[in-house]
Amino acid sequence: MDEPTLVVEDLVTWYLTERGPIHAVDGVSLAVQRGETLALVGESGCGKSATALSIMRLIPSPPGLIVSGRVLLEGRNLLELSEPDMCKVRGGDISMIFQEPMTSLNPVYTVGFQVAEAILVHHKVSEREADKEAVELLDRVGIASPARRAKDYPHQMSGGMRQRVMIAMALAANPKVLIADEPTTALDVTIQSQILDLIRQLQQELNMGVLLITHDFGIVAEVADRVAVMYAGQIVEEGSTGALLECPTHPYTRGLISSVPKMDDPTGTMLYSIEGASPNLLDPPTGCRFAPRCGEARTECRECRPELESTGDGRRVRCLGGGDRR
Amino acid sequence: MHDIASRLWRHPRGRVGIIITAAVIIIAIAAPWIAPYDPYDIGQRGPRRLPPGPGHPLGTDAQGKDILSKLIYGARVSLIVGITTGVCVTVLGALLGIVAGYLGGFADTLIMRTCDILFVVPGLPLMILLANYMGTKFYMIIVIFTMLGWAGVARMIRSQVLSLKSRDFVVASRSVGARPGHIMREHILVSVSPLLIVNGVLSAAGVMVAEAGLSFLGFGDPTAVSWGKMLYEAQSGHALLFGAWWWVIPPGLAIFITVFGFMMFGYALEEVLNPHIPRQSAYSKLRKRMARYAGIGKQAGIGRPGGGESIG
Amino acid sequence: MKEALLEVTDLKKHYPVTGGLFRRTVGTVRAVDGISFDVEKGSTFGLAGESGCGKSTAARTILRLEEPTSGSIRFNGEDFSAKGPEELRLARTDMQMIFQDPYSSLNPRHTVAKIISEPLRVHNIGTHAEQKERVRHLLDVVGLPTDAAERYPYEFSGGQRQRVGIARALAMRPKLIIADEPVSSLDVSIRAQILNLLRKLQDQFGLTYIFIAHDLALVKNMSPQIGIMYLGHLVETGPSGQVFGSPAHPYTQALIAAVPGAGIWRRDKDRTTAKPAAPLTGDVPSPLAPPPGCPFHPRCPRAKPDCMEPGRPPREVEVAPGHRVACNYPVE
Repeated sequence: MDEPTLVVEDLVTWYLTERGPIHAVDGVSLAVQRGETLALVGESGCGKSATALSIMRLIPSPPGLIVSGRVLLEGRNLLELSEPDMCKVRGGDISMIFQEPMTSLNPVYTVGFQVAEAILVHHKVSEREADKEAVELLDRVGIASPARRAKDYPHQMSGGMRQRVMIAMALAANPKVLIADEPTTALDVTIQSQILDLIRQLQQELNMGVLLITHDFGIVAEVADRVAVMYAGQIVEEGSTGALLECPTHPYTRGLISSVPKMDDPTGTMLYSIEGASPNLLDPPTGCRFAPRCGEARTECRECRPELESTGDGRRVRCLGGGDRR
Repeated sequence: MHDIASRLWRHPRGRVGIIITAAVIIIAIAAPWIAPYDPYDIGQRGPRRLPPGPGHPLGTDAQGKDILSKLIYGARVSLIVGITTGVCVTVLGALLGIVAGYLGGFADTLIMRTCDILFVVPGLPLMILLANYMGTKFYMIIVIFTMLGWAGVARMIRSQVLSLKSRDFVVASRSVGARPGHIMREHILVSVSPLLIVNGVLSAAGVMVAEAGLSFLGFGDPTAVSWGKMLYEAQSGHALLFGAWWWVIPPGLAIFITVFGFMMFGYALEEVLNPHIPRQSAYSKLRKRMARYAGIGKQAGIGRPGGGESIG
Repeated sequence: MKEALLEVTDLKKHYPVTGGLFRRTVGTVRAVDGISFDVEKGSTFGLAGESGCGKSTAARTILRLEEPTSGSIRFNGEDFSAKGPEELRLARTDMQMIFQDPYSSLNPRHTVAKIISEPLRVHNIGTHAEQKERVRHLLDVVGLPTDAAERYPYEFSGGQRQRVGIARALAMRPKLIIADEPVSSLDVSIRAQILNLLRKLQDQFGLTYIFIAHDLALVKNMSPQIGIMYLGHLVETGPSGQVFGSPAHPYTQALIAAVPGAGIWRRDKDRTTAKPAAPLTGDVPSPLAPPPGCPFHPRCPRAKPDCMEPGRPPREVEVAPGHRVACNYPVE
């Protein structure tokens, strides 16, 4: 199993507006293996959600548009599939779970019904069998008294339970890849810990690849094998979690990590703050997109656009000064 | 202010609304100069029941008054009653709605129960009853309409105020030590004013129809020249029986066009003041652009744009 | 003994739940159910806890934006909870609040100058020109350009709007500022800017803060003193180094253990000690029906029969100087 299950090559996605296209995803390439978790980290507006939606071809169109690139699932380019074929892939081979389970679940149907519906879309079984499987799935995601809870409506459940239901629906057809877009951001920290454990456990059981989107480096440290950092629609650094967190190379990654308060630091530790704000993706800066905020920028940084280059031992960095580690 | 005006002009319905409304207002103001005769002047009477012809482009009515002149002067009654009532209803409704919503308690209960009563009682019969009792001079009509119309505005404003009350900037104002009066003026009123303006314009349109209806039923001001009254006279004079379309169609069309103009203006105002509502035209421009870029995508070898379900 | 600027004693805020045809009271939501703590002058007291624990309600009740059901609030030596409406209005100049959502805490139809000067206008402080000058000074203090005064909130980013909110809070030179999740709605790289600003202002103006957040690392970073809330109760209070270093309450332990990646940043890279306690199972009970006895007992790994006795709240123990715990069997 050396070939990665999901490969994204040079994905470019735009959002068209009256003032021109927003370059939401600008040449993103990544790969997810089965049994491995890749974390996609970045702040709001960096393009991580847009990347995930592009992979699933769920970009609302208009105003969104996947302009170029390839998304290969076990060799098949998903961007070339017809819509009916893509529907089979969604939920069947790749599933996605979202941040807000309350808005992703239909409030007028019971939870059991929705899970059974997810099963029926992909497996040709009778409705009764689907209901039975739904209860089993609810049990598998750790919901107590699953037969009884299957008759509940989403508003009768807590946020953590709703997220478990979403996970059950996503796993109904044993997908090869699970995309989780900020699955725990809306949850309390104790519930978050339960959900992350659940995802990790299910990943091992099903040998799934997981693409986890988050802005929290703590979560990355806890669950991810590899991590890719995004900024302004591009991946700026990528590598194995342990190495990258210990020794971040790209100035943005370094700045971001230093600006986050950590439990181990004593009270009163000053936090590093990155000057300025994220660039406007309608008219991104020429050259390196981080240069206007970078403390180490040189003149060529504003003129030449740096490419993502390997620095050996599995690390890739998009920086003209790449390779300088502190 | 300028920004709103220019956006309104560019909005297709806005432009229509502005043109019609402005035209009607100008006609009403300039009536003494553009109308060929003065329908209030008893001295100016022509031959009775003339069909359209030279000297009287729309003919004359049963008393020899020129119909075209009545049409022009009729705009005054409609506009005065409509706009004045629109303003009064909005002001009164806003005042009571804000007080009920923000202060709650006894004031709220009192005002809301009064609204409930006004909603339950059938409007038209009550209007007729009041008109009979209070007289039908047009300023009485304004009073009656205001008395019946404020309830809808108050209720709508009250629910807006209830949701505004818990917004952080109102809480912030309280935490700074502001008195309720200050908050109601500076924060609540300012926030609901777009709603009030739109409501005012649409109310005016509605009142014009109601006034015409009242006059048509014979309960309008007998001394005033109004479009509704022209329809009333047409009906009691059996105009259609005699084929006298020029008694019926001009006032009916006038009411329709004026109200239509006001409503277009009101709806466009609502869209312009509430930029969240997407407009159809924006989408069609986007789709043209989509098609252009899809061409790029095809050249690069990609099957379909966006990848998901297209809208429409 | 440092001087306490704020002393909260047994503060409670209950909301009646009405139901039925005649709007009878069918239950009570005990949002804040008897909390007591002191805030030292010039220091920061951190209030941490998960959603629904009552920390935001506590903040509003302390400021009397919601009237306390019972309990007392002593501010600057005076009984704040007993003040009449007019006295309260005037006293508001000393205690201000910074809100979580920079998008809804500023009136979108007011200019920045109008927003920041509102406290001054409400209390008739200064002439028009003096107010304008003060607004300009405050904009400078929070790091915004002076031309921001005539612009509207929608023209600014989240971080900048939060600065406007801070400027408004400073307008009347308060002694105490309650910051209710001031950076939770902001981007990660902007948070540090705002936090550093808050720290700078505290030094510059001698401010006292109550810092509320659900992010434990954040609260720890900003607050030398901390209180952990659960279901309307303060389960543990004390110096943050103590509380986080040797947590005495099982909930505090579980909370610390649940923070993801806690051990990864340790200099000693010893990740085997990252998870000292088993993760918490189940969900937070509803504040409408809190468990009898100790509110935490259904999820507590150390619960014993006497923890569940109705009407018997857990014992309050001082496990170390200044470090208090509400637990019958605190962790050693």
